[in-house]
Amino acid sequence: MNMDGRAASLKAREYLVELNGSYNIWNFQVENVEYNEQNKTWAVQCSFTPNMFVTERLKYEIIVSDTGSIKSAKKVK
Amino acid sequence: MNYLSILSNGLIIDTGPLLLLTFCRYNEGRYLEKVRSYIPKPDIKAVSVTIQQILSAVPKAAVTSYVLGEFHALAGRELDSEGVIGLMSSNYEMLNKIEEITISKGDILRAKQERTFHFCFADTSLMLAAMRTNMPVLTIDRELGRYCKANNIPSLDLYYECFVNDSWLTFS
Repeated sequence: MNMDGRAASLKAREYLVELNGSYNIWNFQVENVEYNEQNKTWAVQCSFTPNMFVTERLKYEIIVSDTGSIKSAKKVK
Repeated sequence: MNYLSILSNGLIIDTGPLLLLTFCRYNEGRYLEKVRSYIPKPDIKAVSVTIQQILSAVPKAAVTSYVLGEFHALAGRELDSEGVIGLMSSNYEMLNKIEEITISKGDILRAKQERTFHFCFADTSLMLAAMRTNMPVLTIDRELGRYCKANNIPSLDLYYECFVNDSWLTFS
């Protein structure tokens, strides 16, 4: 076990920042974190707004491995 | 730790955090994983440490008698009678320091009839205590937390608001 849920969530955020740029991630929030013991992965469901003028949140599910690599990322909404 | 500003008056502790806190302090946390919660297994120890840090930083922690009753019943479900005695004695001083807020049965029944019918006595007592004192309920019960947020009752989700999301609150 290398990562806890907080570290996995930070990795997910870092990935989204890389993808979108830090100025396009506002009000980032982790909504759900689950650990899959079999696959040794964290599923991080998170949301953010792309700028400060919109209220609708973009939702993503990012799968982070126990060692910190991003396994997959999908836009949920 | 940004959430501490919300806790400047103190906090009211729910059954889940109380179980994590006491089990963590009993027998070097050997039975901690017996505490049933939505918190992912790898994080249980760290979250329990977070509760201890929070408690040492707030001016006051309080509980209701309904929560204490629920806490004892749930502890007894996971430990044998000797274990419960050990749990209580290793947490005696800490439990003794936590203040008690008295909420009457009548107030709870009225609140349940008016709006929180599906919540148990312990949860309803917490919501009434939070409204009365303006101290947030520290909980790991997501349904209770969501209800509180939707109804402007002060509350804090221990895992998501104090542990997972706390790391970047200052950046967003």
